[in-house]
Amino acid sequence: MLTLRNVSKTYGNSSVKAVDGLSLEIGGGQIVGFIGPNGAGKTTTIKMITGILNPDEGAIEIDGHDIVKNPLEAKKSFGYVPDSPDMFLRLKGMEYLNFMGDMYRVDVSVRKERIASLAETFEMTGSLNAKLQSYSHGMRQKIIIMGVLLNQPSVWILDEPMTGLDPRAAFTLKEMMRAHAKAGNTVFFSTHILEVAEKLCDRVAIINKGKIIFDGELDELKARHDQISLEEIFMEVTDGE
Amino acid sequence: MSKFFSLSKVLMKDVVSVLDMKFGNKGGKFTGPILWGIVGLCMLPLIFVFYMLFQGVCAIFVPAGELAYITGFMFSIVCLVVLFFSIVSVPSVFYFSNDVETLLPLPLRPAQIIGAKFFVALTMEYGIALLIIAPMYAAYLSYLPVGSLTLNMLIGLLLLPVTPLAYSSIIVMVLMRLFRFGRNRDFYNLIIGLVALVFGAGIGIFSSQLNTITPEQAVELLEGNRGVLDNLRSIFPGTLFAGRAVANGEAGAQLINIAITAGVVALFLFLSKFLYFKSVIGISESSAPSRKMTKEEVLTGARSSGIFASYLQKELRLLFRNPTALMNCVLMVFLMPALMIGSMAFQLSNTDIDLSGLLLAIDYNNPRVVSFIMAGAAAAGIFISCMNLVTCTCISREGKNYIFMKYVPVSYRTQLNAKAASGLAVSVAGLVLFFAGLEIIFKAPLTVFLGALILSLPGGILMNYLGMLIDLAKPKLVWDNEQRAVKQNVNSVILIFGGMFLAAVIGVVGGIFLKTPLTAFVTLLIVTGALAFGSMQMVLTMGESYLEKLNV
Repeated sequence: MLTLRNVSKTYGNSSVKAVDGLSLEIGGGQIVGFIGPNGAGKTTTIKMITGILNPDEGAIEIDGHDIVKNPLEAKKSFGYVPDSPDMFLRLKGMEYLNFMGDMYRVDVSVRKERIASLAETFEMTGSLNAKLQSYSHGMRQKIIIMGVLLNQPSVWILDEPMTGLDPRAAFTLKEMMRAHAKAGNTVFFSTHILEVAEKLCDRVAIINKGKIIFDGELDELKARHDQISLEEIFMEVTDGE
Repeated sequence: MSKFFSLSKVLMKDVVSVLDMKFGNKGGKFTGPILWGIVGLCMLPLIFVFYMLFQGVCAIFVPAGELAYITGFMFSIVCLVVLFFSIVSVPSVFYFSNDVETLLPLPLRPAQIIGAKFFVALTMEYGIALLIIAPMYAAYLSYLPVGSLTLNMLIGLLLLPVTPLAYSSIIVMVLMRLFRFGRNRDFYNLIIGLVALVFGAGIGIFSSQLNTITPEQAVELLEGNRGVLDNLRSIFPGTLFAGRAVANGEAGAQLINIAITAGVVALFLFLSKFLYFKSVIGISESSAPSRKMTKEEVLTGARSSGIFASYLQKELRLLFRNPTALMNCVLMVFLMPALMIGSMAFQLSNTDIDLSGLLLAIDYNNPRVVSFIMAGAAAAGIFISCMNLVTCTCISREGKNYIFMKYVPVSYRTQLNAKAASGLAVSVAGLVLFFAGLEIIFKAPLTVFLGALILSLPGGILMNYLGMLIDLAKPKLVWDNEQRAVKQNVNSVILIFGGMFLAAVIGVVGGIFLKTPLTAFVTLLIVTGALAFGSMQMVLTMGESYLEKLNV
């Protein structure tokens, strides 16, 4: 469960709000695609949800925990895949997963099974002894996703998660996202690939210039726009805003 | 030609940014120039000694009419130094700048890419060449009529670093073509770091020795080594003609110098077509492929260490596996005291002082001596720990990944303490080795040794937490090359100078006012302990708010 209530953020002395009075409520069992043009406020919103930035106004709750007032509990409830997987590059794959397991307090017996299973699913078993530095972009993306899934958090927050993934890994991740939502959990992800959003999401939130300009089910959105594709709708609703 | 200049201009920005020292991510307009000014001021004594020495040499050779010998010698020395420095700098410009694969698809001829890179490397060498030749040439000019800065000298100076740079580029290209290990950035950085440290130590010893050489000895040295100079001239043949052009104003000699330099450049461009692109494509930061893991190994490899221990382990792994951080943040803790003791011993060995007699003369029963030792130990703890740059770069080294600290469900306090512990581990190891080394030399009573060691430890805590506070306040998070997070981080300079000042105050005040060993021990322990506790509390209280505000 992810709730944003009237959240706003302004950077420095700017008079323009990067995020302006944004409200969203995402219940369990939903996959929500967060789409918008560059500079629309997607990253700022995700940064506020994950505690990287504090909102100037409004409140954000993850599984009932306020990210500002009760940050540690809120952070335990979500798993975050940042847009760049280039982190901890001098750790080996296995070292990284153990580190993430420790940070999220994953019991060692559970951890063993999950690492083995995730490594097999993402075809990474043979690479866990190598440093992340030697991985391709896609492999780095996979190991970061594995680190997040190790904890099996109820809320997944993914920033452009498909970037760099090979078709098989992208398919696997999409299947996992569906299964996670089907189990009553929440998946919130940003993407520029509208086909992915169209095929995967139960609901989309379109942000432009810091404001949500549409939030609802895809069918509803399409019905409003004479059943044209999401790409065409996106071009229409963000044009001239 | 316009493509060559456009490309050189773009690549040059990289060099300019290398020189751009900043405080935090922004830094004032004048921060860089001021800091480089300080670096320049620090070099003035060495330049002055060099000038005085060369003036003495000129006093003998100029009246004897051996002007060409002197100018040739100047040029040869500069070529040799440029050759050495450029072997260190060429790989970073030619191989590790990560731009060749971007440049290759552009409509550029290979010679334009190589030429532009050579030009960029050349501009870096001009600084070094100028630094060395300026005091020598100033000394030389002091024996000649005013206004003797000739066009020949300017041409000679412009062409001077070209030949050694071409040589070093060819050497590096051959090495990179033959040995794959050289193409590993980490390995290269480690080797270069070690070479730079040895070279730095060499400069230190050389400059301290330079003070003891008289101009007469320098003249003798030059007279006795004419053969060596001849060899240098045959390696850098242009220097002979450049020297003659400057000394005697021979236009023909200058033309030969230009022709030789052009020939060397042509040779470089010709060879680079065969050597460069084949070795630069696919260059990586990683080491050799590691052994593949089996499913069973995955199951046994999964283990838990606890949050603090795991975070600390991560910090230490990243620190020790990063050659730049290892060389600059860690090894200096061990090398600086060794260099100081080594340099002291080297200087004493050149005097009539009996070192073993001096050591035996230390009276450990004299309370004044022991209280001096205690004050010295407290100061050494601070001094050695301020050479430890682990914590004062610990946030900067995170770069864009600082966000991990903010979204991971671990308190800031735990994360900061784990980072401090990584620095403290390095400080403690350095201090134990330092005092153990001194104990082997001085053979002090065990109580004195232990007392000194204990007194040095709060200094370690103090400097590590202070360093972290500095980095929390102004971290340098925006960088495209991790060397910039460490080497061009003003936070390190602040910690080193601050630590040296504090160590001097503690050492001097403690040494003067604390007259008995017990008073010295207790007072210094309370003072340094209170400072350490205060710095720790400051980090833990202010650190959270600094991290909260952090947004790049």
